[in-house]
Amino acid sequence: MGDREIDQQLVERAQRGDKRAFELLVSKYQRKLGRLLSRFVRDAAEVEDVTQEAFIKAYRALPSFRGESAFYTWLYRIGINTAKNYLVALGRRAPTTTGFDNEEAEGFEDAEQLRDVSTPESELEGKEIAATVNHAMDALPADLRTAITLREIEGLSYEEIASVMNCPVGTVRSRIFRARDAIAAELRPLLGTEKDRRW
Amino acid sequence: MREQISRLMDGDLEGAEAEAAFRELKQSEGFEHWTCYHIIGDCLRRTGAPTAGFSSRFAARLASEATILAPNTTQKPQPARLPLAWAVAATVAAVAVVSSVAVSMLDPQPTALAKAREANVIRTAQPRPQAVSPDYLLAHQEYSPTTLIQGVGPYLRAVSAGDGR
Repeated sequence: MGDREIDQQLVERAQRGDKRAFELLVSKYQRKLGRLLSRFVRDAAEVEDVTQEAFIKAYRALPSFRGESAFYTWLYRIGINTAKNYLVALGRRAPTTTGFDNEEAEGFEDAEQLRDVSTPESELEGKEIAATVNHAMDALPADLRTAITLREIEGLSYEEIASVMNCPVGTVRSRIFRARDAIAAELRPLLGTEKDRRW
Repeated sequence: MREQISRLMDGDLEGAEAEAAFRELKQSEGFEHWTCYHIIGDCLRRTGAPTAGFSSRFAARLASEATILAPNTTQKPQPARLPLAWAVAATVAAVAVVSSVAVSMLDPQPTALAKAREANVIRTAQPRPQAVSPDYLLAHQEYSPTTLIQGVGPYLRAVSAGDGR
């Protein structure tokens, strides 16, 4: 089961009335979508408003989602339209960058292209989280660090990582989990629990 | 449980194991692990910084939305199309069947006919010996039951009788 299939399963659960399944999708994509929409709107509060509105529109439109495209591709289009409509309502113009109207743009992740919309406070929090993750990564044994880097940054499958690291798939599975768990142990105090969900 | 969520994120779970992991994600603790692992991934990829309070604010908005109960409109993955070779083979087979049937109807199968002749099974049809004289039949044909039949039957019989003379 690939990433698209996992999203599809969550979508189908949400279509059957499981709101929690949709929250899982939001939790997965909120940062990626927010980052994309920061190209359209200026400040952090506006970005969050538009991002939340895009997710709500996606939820309402969920019955029409037929799985012909990946969930994020569909969400991406909704996000772009929501941002454009938001700007039109404010009498502003959307950026004329042509890249936003094609699907290739959905994969962009170049930090240099993005305007920083963070407030000083949220920027500090974001930096603290990033620093914690980086520090925890540095503290990992080399084999765990390599495994999670190949998975999260390079996007390799378990089988591909096993081939690169010359070890069984079961070992890769274990290394990736142990790496995540070690970083999460450092990060969790910053994130809080679901009760006081801060992120 | 945490390992199952980690594996689910990476697409390493199927069937019952995936179902069990989805059940765990319904719990608060499972949701926290899911969120935390995705934040780690986003941080490593520099996809975007988390926004404080986003999830709780969105959860509040989502709670006020009507619950969706949509019929299953999702397109299931279509089975792979038959390869061209299969299609060609099926066409050839269909043509062969139709042709053999057509040929068997038109051709009396010479070999079978020859064998039948050898066995003297086929004989030339001989006219039935008439027990009653044709003149008698011709004279009384108006009483024959065939006159009740509409059409050309009676006339054919009369002609046949005439030829037999």
